[in-house]
Amino acid sequence: MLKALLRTQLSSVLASLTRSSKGTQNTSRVSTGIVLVIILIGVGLIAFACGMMFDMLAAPLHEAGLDWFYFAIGALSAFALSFIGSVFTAQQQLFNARDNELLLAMPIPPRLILGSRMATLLVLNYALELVMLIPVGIVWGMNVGFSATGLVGFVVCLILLPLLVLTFTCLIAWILAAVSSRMRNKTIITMALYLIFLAAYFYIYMNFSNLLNELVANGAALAGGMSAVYPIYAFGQAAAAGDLLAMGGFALCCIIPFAIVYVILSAGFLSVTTRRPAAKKLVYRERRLAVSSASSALFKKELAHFGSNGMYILNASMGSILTIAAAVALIIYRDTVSAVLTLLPEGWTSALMVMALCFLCGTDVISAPSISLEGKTLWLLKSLPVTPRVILMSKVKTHVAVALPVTLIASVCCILALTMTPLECALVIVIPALMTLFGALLGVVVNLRFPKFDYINETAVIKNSMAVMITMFASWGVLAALVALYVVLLDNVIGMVPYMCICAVALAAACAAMYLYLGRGGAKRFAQL
Amino acid sequence: MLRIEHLTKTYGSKKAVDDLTLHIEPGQIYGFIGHNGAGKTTTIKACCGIMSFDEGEIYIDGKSVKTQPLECKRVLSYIPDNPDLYDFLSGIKYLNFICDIFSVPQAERQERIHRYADLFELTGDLAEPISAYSHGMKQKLAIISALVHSPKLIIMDEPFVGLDPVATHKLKGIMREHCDAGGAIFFSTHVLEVAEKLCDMVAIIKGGKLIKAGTMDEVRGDDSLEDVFLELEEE
Repeated sequence: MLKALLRTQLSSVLASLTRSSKGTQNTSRVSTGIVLVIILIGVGLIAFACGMMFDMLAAPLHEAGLDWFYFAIGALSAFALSFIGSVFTAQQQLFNARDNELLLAMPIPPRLILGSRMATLLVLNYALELVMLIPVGIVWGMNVGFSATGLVGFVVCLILLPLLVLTFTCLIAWILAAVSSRMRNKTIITMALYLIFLAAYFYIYMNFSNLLNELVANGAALAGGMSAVYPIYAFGQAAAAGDLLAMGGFALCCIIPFAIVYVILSAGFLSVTTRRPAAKKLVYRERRLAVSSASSALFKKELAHFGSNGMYILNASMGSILTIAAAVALIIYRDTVSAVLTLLPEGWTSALMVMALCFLCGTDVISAPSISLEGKTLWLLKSLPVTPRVILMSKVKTHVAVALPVTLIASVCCILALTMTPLECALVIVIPALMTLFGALLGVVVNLRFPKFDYINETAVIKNSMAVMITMFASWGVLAALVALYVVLLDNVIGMVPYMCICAVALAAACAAMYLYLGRGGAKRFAQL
Repeated sequence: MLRIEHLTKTYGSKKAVDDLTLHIEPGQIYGFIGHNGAGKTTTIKACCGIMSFDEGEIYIDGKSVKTQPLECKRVLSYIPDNPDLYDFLSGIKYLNFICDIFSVPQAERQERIHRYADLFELTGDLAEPISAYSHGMKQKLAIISALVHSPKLIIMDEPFVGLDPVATHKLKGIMREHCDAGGAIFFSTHVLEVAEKLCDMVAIIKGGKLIKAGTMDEVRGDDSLEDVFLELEEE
């Protein structure tokens, strides 16, 4: 029974990544090929960056006799990546799946349904953990070398660590589901709780790092401060020295909390998934109805959809959330940042600001899942007397309406905080704005090519679908290509500011091309969905 | 009002609809019956312009669904077999959205929403999000949204599924009134008793092919519609 549930869950995740809902087997194979290449490139880049970072740490820490600390940092980083990567999916995955009622009506114990969904999250945690810890292991092996017991310890801890991540993400998901199932306005509650949990997480994470640093600086205090960071210390000791006691300790730290959380969640699974808020019924009072044009009505409908799902807001507009944080940080630390940036060649200050803002714009993927999210209501849009172009542009407008104001505010913060020429100031405003429009149009274009309508929950489309991944990586890829083109080929040919002007024109041209496509080829494609 | 001429639609190598021709005149309630997978929903979706077809033509109020899809959609309403609506909107926001799309003037939309919501006893629930609606309430909302812009042609796929007996009775009354006022209705159903009592014309489809069509009396003769249907299915 569990095997069948696991198979269904995992094939659903795999399908959301690699299979489009429309298209022939051949196009499906092509799509799968494309997405695998994109995933491999993305994973390869992250793993390479991790490897480079740990390459700088391995030898010095070994020479200082702090082998355990190297693995502790690795474990902490892997924990952070896995946690951030899975916490937003956990609630939907565990408690809000579309097939809840179907499965609960079958003779399947709820604990098995929960177990199969937790296993899917565990697979995601493993994937994220390995991206970080495999380079950690390889770098250590190349620079220092493992003892036989150390290697065993490292592998055992590598297998166990995702259980610890899973324990935390499932616990948070359960608290969120339990609280939000009693509330009418789930979006605000979910968003607020997630942001509180994230803030708490980062606070603990920062303090964890500080505590580890203190422990390293003052070996005598090791014993006193050990209880708080024991799992991470044990991971380090097990991997570095093959310490069996530490390995056992780490195993207990992972398995016991996981078992407790699994038992608690199993006991409450049925009540959390089936509870309906006992809120008072909303009373309808007839009042004058506002009249809008068709395009305005579609835009408002898209905004309502975006605003109705906390996961959509948090995942698809993470770039905007980070942009706000970056803008505030820039204003607070503007003296420090200015001092560092004065060391750069002329034009590079504005270029760096543009790059940072464009990178964050590329992280926003509001439009990329918007066609897929029509799901079973796609018939409605297709039956309305509205051209596909108007429908598709309403999705572009929604992305722009959410992301552009934030980008513009951040651009203004850059201008206020740093010294730039008027032309540079204009470019800091125009290029990120164009990148926002580029991302919005690209999202719709890609989603037209890779729609996904047969999903179990909306988060699967928002977070893991092919359209979202391609759009995000393509946006970053365009940015990387423009930067690489200058650094590799044009550095000695043209100044940075004129080059940015050319980039602005190129981005505007790309936006115009996609806009025209949506009205013609894109409209035809939409009609075929 | 609705002319289907030699409609053919294939899925891969399978012909879902094969050379189907039907004419629905103003004032007619036209029933469309057939077993599961006979091609009813495919035909209906093709008529509404939400599914392309391989051969033939469909005209609504004299306009081609292929070449003038927007003009056709402006005069028709479609109610699918499963009322999947926008769960994130409230009932009233959904109805207002539909009125915006069909450019229903303010006074008319206010009056029609009031009238039909009262008729289907949904007024008290209009402020609630659609996600909180039962299947039957969603079906009622879909029916109201199909009526608020006063279409000439209403196309419905299994419209009585999920409706309570009172709502079913009211819907049948509205269908009759709509056609008496010069409109037309084309709907599929498995409830043969309803079709027999309600329809002016009926068509039976089997394996994508039209096997019998005409007035109710022509099709059933001295037998019941159920007997005729079962007989034709066994052939």
